[in-house]
Amino acid sequence: MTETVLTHDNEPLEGVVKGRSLLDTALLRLKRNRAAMVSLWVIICMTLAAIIGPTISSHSYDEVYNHFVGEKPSIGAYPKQEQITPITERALSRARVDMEDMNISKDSIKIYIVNRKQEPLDPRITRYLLRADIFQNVELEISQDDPQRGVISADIRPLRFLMGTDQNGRDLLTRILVSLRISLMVGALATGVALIIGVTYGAVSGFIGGNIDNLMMRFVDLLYSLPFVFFVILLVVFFGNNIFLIFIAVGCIQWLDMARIVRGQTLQLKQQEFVQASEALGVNLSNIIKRHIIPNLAGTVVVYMTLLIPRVILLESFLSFLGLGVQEPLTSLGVLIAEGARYMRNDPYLLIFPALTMSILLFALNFLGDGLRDALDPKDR
Amino acid sequence: MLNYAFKRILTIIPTLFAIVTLTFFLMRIAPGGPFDEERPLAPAVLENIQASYGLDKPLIEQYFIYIGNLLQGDMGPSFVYRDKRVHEVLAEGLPISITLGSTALLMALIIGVLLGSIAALNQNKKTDVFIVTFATFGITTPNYVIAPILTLIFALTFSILPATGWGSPSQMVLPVISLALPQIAIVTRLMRGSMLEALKSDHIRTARAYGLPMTHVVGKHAMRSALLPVLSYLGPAAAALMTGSIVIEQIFNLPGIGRYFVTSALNRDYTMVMGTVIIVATLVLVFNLIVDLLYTVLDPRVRYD
Repeated sequence: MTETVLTHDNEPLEGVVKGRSLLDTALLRLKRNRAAMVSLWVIICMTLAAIIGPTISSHSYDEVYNHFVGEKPSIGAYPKQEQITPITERALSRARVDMEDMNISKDSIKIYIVNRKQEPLDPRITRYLLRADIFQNVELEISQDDPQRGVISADIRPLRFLMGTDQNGRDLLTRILVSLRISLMVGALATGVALIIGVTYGAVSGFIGGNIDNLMMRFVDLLYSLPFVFFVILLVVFFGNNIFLIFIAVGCIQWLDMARIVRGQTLQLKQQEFVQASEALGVNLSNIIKRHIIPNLAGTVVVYMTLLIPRVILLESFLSFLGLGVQEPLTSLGVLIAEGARYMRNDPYLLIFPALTMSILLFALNFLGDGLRDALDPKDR
Repeated sequence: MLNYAFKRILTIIPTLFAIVTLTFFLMRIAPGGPFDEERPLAPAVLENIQASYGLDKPLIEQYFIYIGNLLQGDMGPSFVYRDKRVHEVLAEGLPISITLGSTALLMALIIGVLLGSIAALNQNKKTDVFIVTFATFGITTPNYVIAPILTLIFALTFSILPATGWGSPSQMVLPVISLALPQIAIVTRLMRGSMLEALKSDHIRTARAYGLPMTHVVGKHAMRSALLPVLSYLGPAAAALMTGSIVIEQIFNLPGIGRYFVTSALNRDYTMVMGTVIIVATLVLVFNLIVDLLYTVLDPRVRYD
C-alpha cells in the first residue's frame, strides 16, 4: 500500500485531497497576518536598497562635497542659482585668474577670464573648476589674439541630496544605504555563526542526553552569567577594529539561547511517536535527523533567527555609537546616529533620518519574527 | 531555602573567579599596552615604568599577585588615573550609576506592570492597541536614539529640563527616562502576555464565579502568577540597564562608572578593566540569585531543596 502511494507521488490520485503540510499551514497563517506581511516587504525592499542602492546612487558614500556642507534635504538639485557665482569665484581665485564676465544659463556656464600674471593661460587650470564638484565637461578656449585671455565653458552638474549632506559634505542618503548594508551584513554574519554553533550544540546535547547533556548545559549556564557587553568590548580590543571578525566573535557568544531552545525541542521530538515509529522501522539515525528532527526544528530556528538579527544590529550600532565599531569613512547606523546627535540642534534631519531607518528596520524584523512565531506555533492552531 | 541560598552563593565564587581569570588573560594577550603613546617612550624609561607597576614579571606571576591583592580588597593602581587606586576611582562613580540604574529599574517595573495589566484587561480594545504599539516602539528604539530626541525636545526646544549634569532631581529626569524606556516596553509586553494567560486560568475563573470584586481578583490572585515571568526578566534587565548606562552616561555627561567600561579597555588600563568587570559580574550574579530566591516566595510550587 505504502509503495503504491509512493509510486504515484507525482501524479495525485483522483479524489485524494492533498494534505496541508506544516509549512503550507504556516505560510497561510503568515499571509493572513497583515503586519508581518508588510514587514516582510519592508525588509525585502530595504535589503534590495542596501545591496544595489549604494551602487546606483550618483554619489559615493565617502565623496566629500566641500561646497555643500550640511545642506538641508531637498528634492531640487544643487547648486542653487545663487550658489554658482561664489563657488566659481573661489575656484577661479585658486586658479589665479580674474573673471571679466560670466553668463549663467540653466545648465551651462560661460566664463570670460584673464590671467593675473602677464603670461599666457595654462590649459590645466580647468582642473580647479572640476574640483569644485559642480561643473562637468569643462573646456578652456584661449583667445587667439591675446593668450592671456580665454573663455571657459562648462556644463553645470546637477547634484541631488534627497536627505541632505552631513557635516563633512557627504550625501546622507548614500551613507544611510551603505550603513544599512553594513548592518544587515553584520546581522546576517553573527546570526549565521550563532545558528551553526547553537543548533549543533543543542541538537547534540539533546540527542545524547544523560550526563553529557547535563555537563554541556552547565557550561551554557556558566557562559550566561558572563557580563556580555563587557566581553564584546574586550573582543573589540582584541581584534582591533575589524568589524567582521568582531561579529564572528559576537556570533560565537550569541548562540546560547539557540542551543537551549534547540536542545529542548530535540528532547521533546525524541519522544514523539513518529520518531519512535521510524526507529522501530529501522530507519538509521542520520535519516531520522534529516527527515524528522531538522524539519521540525526549522520553524523554531527560523523564528529565533529573525529575532536575533535585530539584536545583533542593535549591538553593532551600540558599539559604533561608542566609536568601537565601524571606522570612518565607512559608516553604520550607529555612527550616523551618534553624529546626528551631535549636530541635532541645527540640523535635526541628520539624527532623524538614520534613527527612522533604524527604527523601521527593527520594527519590521520584530513584527516578522512575532508573526512567524504565531504562524509556526502549533499550540493555538 | 537557606541551604539553597548558601549553595548558590558558593557557586558565585568560582564563576567570578573564572570571569576574572578569563578577562585577565584576554586583556593581556591583546596587542598594545597602557603606556603606548603617539611618540614611543625611550626603552629605558618604559622598562622602569613597567617595573614599577610589576609588569616586567612573568604573566603567571602577575596573575597570582593580582589575585592575592584582590582577595585583600585591593584592585591595584590605575594605569591612567595616576596616584589613584582602582577601587577609589570606581567608588566615586558607582553611587551615581547605581542611583541611575535602580531608579530606572524601579520605574520600568512599576510602569511596565501597570501598562501590561491595563492592556491585558482591555484586550483587543483601543487602549490595548495603543499600549502594544507604544511597547513595540520602545523595544525597537534603542536608548541612544531616545536620549538625543528627548534632549532635543525637552532641553533644547522647550528648555524645561537641563540637558547634562548630575546632582539635582531635575537633572535625573531625562537620563532615567531614556534609560528606562526600552525596559518599560519589554516589561509591558511580558506582563501583558502573562496577565492574559493568568486571567484564563481556573483559579481566576473560580474567584470571579464567587463574585469577588475585580480589583481583588486581578490585584491579588492574577497578579501573583502573572508577575513570575517579569521577575525572571529582572536579571537580564539589570544587565541591559548596565549596558544602557554606558551610552546614557556618555550622552548626558554623567560622572558614573559607565565611561570606564569603554575608555579603560581602549587605554589598556588593565587594573581598571578588571575592576569594572568584577563589579558588573558581581552585580549580575547577585541579581540572578535574588531573583531565584524571590521566585520561591511568589511561586510556592518552586522549591529548592
